[in-house]
Amino acid sequence: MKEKKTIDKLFKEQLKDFEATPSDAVWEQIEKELHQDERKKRRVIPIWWKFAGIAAGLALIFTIANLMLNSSDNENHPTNIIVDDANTKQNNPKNGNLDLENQNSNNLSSENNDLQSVANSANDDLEDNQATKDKNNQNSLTNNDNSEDQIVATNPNTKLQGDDNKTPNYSTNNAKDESYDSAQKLTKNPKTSGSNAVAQSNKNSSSSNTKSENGAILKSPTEMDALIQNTKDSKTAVTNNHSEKDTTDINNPKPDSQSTTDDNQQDSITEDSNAIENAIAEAENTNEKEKEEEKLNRWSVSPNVAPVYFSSLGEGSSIDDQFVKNNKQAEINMSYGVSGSYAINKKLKIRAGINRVNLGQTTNDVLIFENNSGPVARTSSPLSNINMVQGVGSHSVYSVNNFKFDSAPTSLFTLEHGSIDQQLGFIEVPIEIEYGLIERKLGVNLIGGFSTLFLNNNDVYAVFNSGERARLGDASNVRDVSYSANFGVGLDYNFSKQWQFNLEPTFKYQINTFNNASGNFQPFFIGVYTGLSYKF
Amino acid sequence: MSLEQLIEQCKKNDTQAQSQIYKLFASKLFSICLKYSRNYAEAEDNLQDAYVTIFKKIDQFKGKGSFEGWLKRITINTALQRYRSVGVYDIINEDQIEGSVSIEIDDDEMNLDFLLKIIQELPDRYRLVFNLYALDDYSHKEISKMLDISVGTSKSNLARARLILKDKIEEYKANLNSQSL
Repeated sequence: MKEKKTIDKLFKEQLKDFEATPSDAVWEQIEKELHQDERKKRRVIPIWWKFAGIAAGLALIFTIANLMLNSSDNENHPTNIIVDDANTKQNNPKNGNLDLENQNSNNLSSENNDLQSVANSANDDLEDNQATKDKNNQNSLTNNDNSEDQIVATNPNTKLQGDDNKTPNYSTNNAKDESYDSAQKLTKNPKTSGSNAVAQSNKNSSSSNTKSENGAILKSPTEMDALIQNTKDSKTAVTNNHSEKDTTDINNPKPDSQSTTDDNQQDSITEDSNAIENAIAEAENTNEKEKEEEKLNRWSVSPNVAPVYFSSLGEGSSIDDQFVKNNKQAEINMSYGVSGSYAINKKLKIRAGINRVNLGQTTNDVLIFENNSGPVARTSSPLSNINMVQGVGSHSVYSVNNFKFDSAPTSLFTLEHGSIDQQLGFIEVPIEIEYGLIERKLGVNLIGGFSTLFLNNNDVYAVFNSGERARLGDASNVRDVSYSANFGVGLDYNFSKQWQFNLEPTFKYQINTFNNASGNFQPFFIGVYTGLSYKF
Repeated sequence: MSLEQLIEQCKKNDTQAQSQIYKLFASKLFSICLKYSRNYAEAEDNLQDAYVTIFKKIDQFKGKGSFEGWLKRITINTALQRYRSVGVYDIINEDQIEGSVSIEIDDDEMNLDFLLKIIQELPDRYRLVFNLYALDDYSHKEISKMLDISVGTSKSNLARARLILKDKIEEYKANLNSQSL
């Protein structure tokens, strides 16, 4: 029957139910291509290992470089610190309240003034100078007090260190004074211990004495008190005068009779300058440490990734008794997560985090039969620890070790051996303590703690030799919640005060992940955790 | 195993599940490939590429809409990618030919292999446009986007395809008649 219809309609009707079966070669090609991809994927991880190796190498280089840098650092310290002193002195001169820190810095600086006199050429402003002079006077008085005390006591009050705010200042004084004393002993004025300061001042004495004393009297009452105290002891009084004169010298650097005497003094003192500088450096170091501790960033957060290697300590199988002796191959997987830490003190940190971790293990030398086509019927006892997938396309798996050549049909041995791939995924919540062994630019820590593992992925695959994978089911013997004990060594490199690069190879021993494993199966995993942490 | 379960397993790259999905849809998708391709061999290539894309991107299928529709779209796109870039000379003025082309025909006369063959013989762009518009119900606007051509070009290509097909069918009928006479 002829009918007039549009071309569109004709084709649509005719082709509506058209189906065509492609050749089998197509599926083989598809499978190959997908499989190729998988192989590539597996190759990615070893490359990552290489990066970890490079990172470790870099860390080593940094350590060496750091050690070398550190030694040169020490040499540089004194000059820096003297500049610091000058600054603190200049920053605080208007502060009428003479707290101990001011005294300290001024003591230091007054010494510096003596030593380097006008090395601080920055003293342009006369008013400022006047103020500093005042303080210098005062301070030098107290300083002398201290030194006098020390001379009497002959041993420094080191016990006081770290007691509270004031003590470091005292210790600074002590250290300085001590070295000042000892330094002076080295000078060509070998007078008895109690009169170091006097030795110097004797040189200058004479007219400048009265002059500077007058100046001192004109100044503040506190100074007066100090003066009075000092004058009780004639030696200290003289010392006082001497130091007062010094400071006036510095502040009024006009050439007059004083300057000549001052020159003498300077000559003698510059010889000691090194010793004193060192002492100051020492003192300053303790200060710096103190400050650092105050600034310690207690919190930090660090995202991290790690290649993880899953294996067992003993010979065993988590899958079935028959696989205990089979060759097992550990898989390298990735773990990633984030952790936060809190520094209890400079050495000890407590940290917690959350990681996603996948573990995989391959059991080799197994025979796999597809149940609808395989030569062996399904046995009454499938793998003891696996909930097998039921139905068409399910598989039976046997260890090669089960078969003996003489008793099994030869067809078995023409089959290629496959493997069983067990994949487990966990959400890991680690709680760990980190103890710092070395705290420098490059730090080393010991890490210990435990993790709670929440199971979130559980698959067992049969892997044919062709690379085909088929899901067998899931493991029935993995606990939903289990624990691991963790030990590790951490290396960290501080880029800046806030950013830090971490490399932490960590061993995690799984305590009760499997509730019914065969043989001596003691699973563990090792991860090389790498991350950046940000302190705040 | 349900389709959803199979898809889930495919997301885990399970070969067994992939094979089952392949088997379920291969003939449908292959028919699409045959219509959109120049010949059988290229159709197989396209089918292969389409399935590789499907399994690689199966993660992106979130269960919204029909899975089969999703598979078809990927298959069509694969074919489009292969032939889209091939240029066609538009000899005929676009304005001159639009509208439907009809033919008087007896259903029994028509042989499926022949219809498929003449589709495959169409110039690439004509074939794509004819398939998309006449067989898979895409609009000219959609086609213009998919092939990166103007709506006018799409309409013109369609009309040209129809004319070619009509000529071939009539030629075929004439042959049949002369043989039977």
